[in-house]
Amino acid sequence: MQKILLKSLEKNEQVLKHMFTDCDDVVFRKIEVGDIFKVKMTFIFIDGLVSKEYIAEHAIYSLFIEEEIKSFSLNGFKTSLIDIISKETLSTVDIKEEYRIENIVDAILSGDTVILIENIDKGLVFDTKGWPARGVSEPQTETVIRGPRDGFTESVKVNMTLVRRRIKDVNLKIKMKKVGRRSKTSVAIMYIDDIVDKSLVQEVNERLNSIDIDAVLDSSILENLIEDNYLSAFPQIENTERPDSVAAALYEGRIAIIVDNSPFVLIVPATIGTLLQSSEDYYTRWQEAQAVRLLRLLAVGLSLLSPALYISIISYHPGLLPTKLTYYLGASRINVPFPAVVETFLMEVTIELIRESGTRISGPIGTTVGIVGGLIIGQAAVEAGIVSPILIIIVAITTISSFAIPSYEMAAGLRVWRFILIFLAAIFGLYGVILGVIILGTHLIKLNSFGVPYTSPYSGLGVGSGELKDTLIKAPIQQLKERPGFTNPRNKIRMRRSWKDARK
Amino acid sequence: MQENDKLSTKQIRALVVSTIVGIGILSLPNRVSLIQGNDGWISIILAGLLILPIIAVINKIFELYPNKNFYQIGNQVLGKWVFYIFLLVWLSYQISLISYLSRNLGELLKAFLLETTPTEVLIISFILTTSYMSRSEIQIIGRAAYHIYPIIVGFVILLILVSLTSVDFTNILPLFQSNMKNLPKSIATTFFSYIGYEILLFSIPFSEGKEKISNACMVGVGIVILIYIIVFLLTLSQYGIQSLQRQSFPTLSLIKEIDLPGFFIENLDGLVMAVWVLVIFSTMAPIYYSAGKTLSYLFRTKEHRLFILPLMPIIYKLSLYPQNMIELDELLGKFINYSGLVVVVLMPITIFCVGYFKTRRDKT
Amino acid sequence: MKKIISIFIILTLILVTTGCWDMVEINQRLFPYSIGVDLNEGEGARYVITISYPNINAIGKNATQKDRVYIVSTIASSVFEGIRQLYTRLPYELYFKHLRVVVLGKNLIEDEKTIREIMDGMNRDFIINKKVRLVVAEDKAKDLLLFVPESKRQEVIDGTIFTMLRESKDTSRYTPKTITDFISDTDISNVTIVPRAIPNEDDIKFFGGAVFKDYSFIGNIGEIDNRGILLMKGKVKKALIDAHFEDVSISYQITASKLKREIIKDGNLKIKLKIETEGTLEEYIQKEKVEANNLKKLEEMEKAIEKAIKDEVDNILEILQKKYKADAIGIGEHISKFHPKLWKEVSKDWDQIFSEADIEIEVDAKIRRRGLMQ
Repeated sequence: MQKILLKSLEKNEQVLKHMFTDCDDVVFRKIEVGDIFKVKMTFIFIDGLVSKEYIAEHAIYSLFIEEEIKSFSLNGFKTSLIDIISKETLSTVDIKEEYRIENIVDAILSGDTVILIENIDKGLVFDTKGWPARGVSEPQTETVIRGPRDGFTESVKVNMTLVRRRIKDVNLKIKMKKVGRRSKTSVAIMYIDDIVDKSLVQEVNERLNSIDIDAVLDSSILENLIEDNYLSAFPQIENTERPDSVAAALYEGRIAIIVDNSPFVLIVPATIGTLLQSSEDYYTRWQEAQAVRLLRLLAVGLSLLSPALYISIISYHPGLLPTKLTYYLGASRINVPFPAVVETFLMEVTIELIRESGTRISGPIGTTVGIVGGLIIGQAAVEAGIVSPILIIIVAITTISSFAIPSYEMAAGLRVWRFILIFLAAIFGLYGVILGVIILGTHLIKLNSFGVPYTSPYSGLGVGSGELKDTLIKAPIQQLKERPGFTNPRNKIRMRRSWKDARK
Repeated sequence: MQENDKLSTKQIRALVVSTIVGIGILSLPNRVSLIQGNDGWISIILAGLLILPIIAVINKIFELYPNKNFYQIGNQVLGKWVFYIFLLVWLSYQISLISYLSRNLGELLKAFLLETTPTEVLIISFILTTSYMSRSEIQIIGRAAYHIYPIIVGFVILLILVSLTSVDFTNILPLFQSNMKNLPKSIATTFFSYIGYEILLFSIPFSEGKEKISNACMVGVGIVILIYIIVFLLTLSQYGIQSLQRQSFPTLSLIKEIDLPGFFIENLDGLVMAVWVLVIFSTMAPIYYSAGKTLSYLFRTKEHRLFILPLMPIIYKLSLYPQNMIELDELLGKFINYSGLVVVVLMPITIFCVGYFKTRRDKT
Repeated sequence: MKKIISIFIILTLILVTTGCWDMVEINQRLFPYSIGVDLNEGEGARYVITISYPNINAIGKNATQKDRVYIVSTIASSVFEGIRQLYTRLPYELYFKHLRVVVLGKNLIEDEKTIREIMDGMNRDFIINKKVRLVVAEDKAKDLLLFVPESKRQEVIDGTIFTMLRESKDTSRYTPKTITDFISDTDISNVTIVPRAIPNEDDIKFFGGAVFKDYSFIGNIGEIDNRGILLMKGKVKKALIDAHFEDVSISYQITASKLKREIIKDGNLKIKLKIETEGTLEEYIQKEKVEANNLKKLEEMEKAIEKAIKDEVDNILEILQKKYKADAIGIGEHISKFHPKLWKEVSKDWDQIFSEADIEIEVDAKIRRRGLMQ
């Protein structure tokens, strides 16, 4: 198996043609340049991956009009042919010399063009990537009322650019890697050098290097491969479609991982605090953000505990409520055939079905299905007397709360635990709920994300400087002078003064 | 990487509070008022103050031998065999304490929440849940304590707020009328509501900020004293001294007294039971952990989590052995009192004294 | 891995099918809100136990039945035994957490032992809410409870009796008493007073109180007496006093009252009670000349009111001291708290000492507001 190029153009072409057998979109364009002594060259590229105008205008055309090659035979060459072509002729933006067949094949598959030249055992590679891509548009999963509306696309280069525009610091480092044996997906690791904790960078690099898998189709696959505990229902790596979130994370001393073909960028490390934050908190006024943050905590609690508490009160401990409420609950459940557990389970499954079907069908039909399904099924069920109206309210509250959580995966994790708690409540009542909460709490406390405990900033580690100020409550930006400590940043101060300080 | 293998001072404080505030809080007012009457709060304060020097002693032990953990120090100071004896006493103390806690919780749950569920199931489920936490390291337990600590404090504040509607503070009077000769006995009874701080023996080596740890421990004990006093005063104000002596669980009955139908605050005892389970959990998990650690030292293994699950049948059997609550107090309670005296008072003091003289001798 | 999962699944199935020991649906429980206890005058066991509970079907929007309350009654040897017996007659389990009222029949309270037994039972139980109110029925408790469904002031959820007892903020003709209060009062001063109730045409009337000393019933007091006692305890919230002034009767509404106690001991025990009230002049009489804007007139009215109050209070005090020898006004409690040394001397024979003590009442009534008219 030929590994490097030979001098003979024929043989090189044959090798490559053999490798690309049955790949009908690989184009071999032969040209001959020169009047008297013709230099044979072959352009190899994949139609569809390249921008054909670029090749035509800057490579082929520039070769055709090159005087020196035309007059090749008349004088000797001052410099070698390949140097003439690469340094003086081709008007491409970048040029590389390659002699390994493997790299040449990789280059062709990535959208570069390779020029093979007769009698020269090196090939010239230049970047001609140009494929149909989605333009930069508003991210669909994280919309804000105020704030930038550009979102990541599927191209690594575009995504890197969107972040770089927000960090014009020479300390912003970008390292490219390729992950995946066959997919050879480009992965870019971004961090700010003088803020980030070096051992974190090292950890990320190690984990990425140790992956050996056929294909990485989306950043979520990468996420699953490098996270600390894949058995947990909770995400240990944050992902976002918004460049401003990424930039903010980098400023905090975290690391971003951009995966080609995925508009979701991974941010490492992640904690409960960061997963419950949304970039909108920083763009609206702090009082509202404060209230919203507390509301989110309430939402987490409700989405986790409501059905379980309902079951434990109805089936086990009617003594826990004020008397009036107890009687009304009892009255609302007359003639309901099922015990509370079965009822809850049925309704939860129904809601999940509705939600799932709403996701499958996008656009206007999707939302309608959701509303119609929910309303009608709920109403009909109550009318038929199969479920009690209180339960419908509870289930609706649960679902709405779970949508109030910024991170979708987090809500999903909570959903799993909601079912576990329902099960425990069915057996042990309130005691089961408490046990479940204890087990869940223990699990979260034990969880680590790249060495950072999952429950910092609530865990009181170190000196609690910026911790709670930015998670439980939302202090105005004038007070957030230091970076949060959980990432162990080397450079702690991020704001030196506001205008009032300047006046003092 | 982050120094997350060290406990911070806040976590030490939280660990002290949440480990000590355990069983005592439910029945302490009753027990101390039986002996000392209205002046029970005096014994509560005095007993707490007695603890402080012992904690200072514990801190000093670790100052004498920095960078060593408790087992290494004990071994070095006392010699292998004496230390082994101490450890065996300690182990039996821990196991009895865990069994006592589980049984107590099981009985309460059965009475208030789940009448028909068999006690065995309640106890097993609780031990299993606690073992999940005890299998981890002290840092994680410290973090958990840090989360439970505000719940405990918040609960006490809630108690204060809601009982303000119906308490009569004149019930605390008359002061200083009781028989002061009973003080030693009442202090002894109260003292054993403060045990649990021996967890410091396991956590101080792993914490950062050496100078401030001592402070954090003292503050923690101070907070516990405050909590106990508040609970005592509230229950006394609510019931008056005679009724207080009648009740087995005054704190719980205090919650039952709160009834403001206009404000929809009724029947809070479900909430109390929930907090209660958390409180017992936060007391039991560190002790279970330390039992595992002790066993792992005795058998020279690296990980203590091997021993956590095998301990479970022993604890289960032991917790079911007493026939009822009274026997529970008689058998296990007394044993815990006496062995506790050895473990939490004698052992640290002995180690400190011997260690102190040894280092003095080594220096000269 | 597979083994763990299969163990887990088996465990789950076992727990779910044979477990769930305590699961009883809320609509399969009954929540009685009152219990009545009588002595059984016929043959058989000692007590007649009556419970009343609301009909859940009558609550809420889809009220399907008209009967709002059900009453069941049985004969048993103790309160809890009676409850067990009722289980055999009722479709669902009884759950006593929301119990509100315990009615004691007249013939029951005369026996000290039964009162002690019942109180102990109520207090010891885990589930019963300690804020249960006690009521003494003039005749039979069962009759009182049976009377309730006919009553107009019906509230399904709480029951008539409790609703009335709860709204008693504005009246001082009876004082609601909970189980805990009963026991702690008896612990502190041996005396407690429980309101009496009697069916009255199509309504229930609460008035006055039954006096219990050492857990046994020693007599009744009327409504005015109850007010007097409350005045001496300083716990009157609102009361209306009628006084005579220059041949006219004035109505004086007390809006606040305070009490000062002073203990003097030289030889015999002497206690001074100073009652301060302030209130509104509610009713005078329409005269041709405007009179109520004269300060002197006002003072004279106050004096008349003070005399009226003092007469009331002296009256009940005499009854308490001489007839019942019971300290229902909290003087013993006060001494035990504020003068502990004195209490050590007198506590043994307190009832006797109380009945012989020289208690002086001083009333200071102030008219703060006189309404819209002059």
